[in-house]
Amino acid sequence: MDNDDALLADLRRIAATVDGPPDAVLAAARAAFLTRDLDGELALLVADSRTTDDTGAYAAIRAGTDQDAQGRWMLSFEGGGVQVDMEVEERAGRVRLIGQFSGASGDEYLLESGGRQRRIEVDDLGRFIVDDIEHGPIRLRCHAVDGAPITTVWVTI
Amino acid sequence: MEFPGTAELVARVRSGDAAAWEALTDRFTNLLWSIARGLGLGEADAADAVQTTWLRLVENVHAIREPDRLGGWLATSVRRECYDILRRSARTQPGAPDGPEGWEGIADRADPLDFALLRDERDAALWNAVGTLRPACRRLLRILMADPPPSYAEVAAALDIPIGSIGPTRSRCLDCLRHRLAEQEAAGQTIFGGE
Repeated sequence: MDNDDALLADLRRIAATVDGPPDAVLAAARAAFLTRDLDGELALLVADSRTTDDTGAYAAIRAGTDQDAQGRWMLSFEGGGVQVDMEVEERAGRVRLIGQFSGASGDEYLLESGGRQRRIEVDDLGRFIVDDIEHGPIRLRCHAVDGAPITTVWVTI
Repeated sequence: MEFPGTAELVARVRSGDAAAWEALTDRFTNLLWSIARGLGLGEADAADAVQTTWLRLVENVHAIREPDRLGGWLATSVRRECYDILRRSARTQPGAPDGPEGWEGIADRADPLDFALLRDERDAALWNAVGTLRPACRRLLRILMADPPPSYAEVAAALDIPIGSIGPTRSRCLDCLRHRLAEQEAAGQTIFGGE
């Protein structure tokens, strides 16, 4: 072992003491396996207003109203004939989603967050508001017109 | 007993083997955490970035093209999550700059290093010296501190830099660290009871 390797080994030992991954992170990594084996189709993220290139679907929004666009965060998912558009709002460390399902059917709309599922109330036009969500990865689930289950990819809010 | 290779674990995960999944998370969670922390995320954001990366692997495990290079895939994936999370913070906290300079500023916002856990004075001095390095060195060294030690391919994926640049930069940063340590000692600085 040369000097550099020895010094890095010391640093690795110190990092393990002062900045190792917390137990909750290790537990969440293991628990992620429980989210597998979904039937149906994935709805992919097709637009994210945070993307830095100005060719995205939200470029016009950002360029148009400089005041408003800053701080607004819009996401769109698409798959299996369903589209989900939503805005993510943050207030006092909690998150609110305001959005709309298009092309979905049935009455089961779900939000997965923090290892739990909750039902989303959706109006006649597919619009919804969900309050008081914790920061972290979320995904939405619904059904296509043919009844096939649709799940969005994970997004960290 | 020989440990199963990463490709074999991926194959077993694809067929639903929970023990193989646990083995993968045991192998790579420390690396993902080190990358997120190296890129300057605070503990809560780092936890989100690591968890989302694992969820994405579950989502994509059947589509991984080179299972033996899973570490590189995970490193790239967690880097993107970190960028996304930092951009979110920059949006909701007006004034936080975007772009490369923003990274430097953001990196400084990370949690203060926890010296209280370091009883050994040399360890504390060493950790303190790491904090005085320029951000590019702090990032690289923090990622190299992952346990087990990461491959250069994984480090390159984590930082989006050429593999060939890692060796020379690593050696320059460690030299610089030794200098800082020597300077501290010469100045008679101590972390404990130095008043």
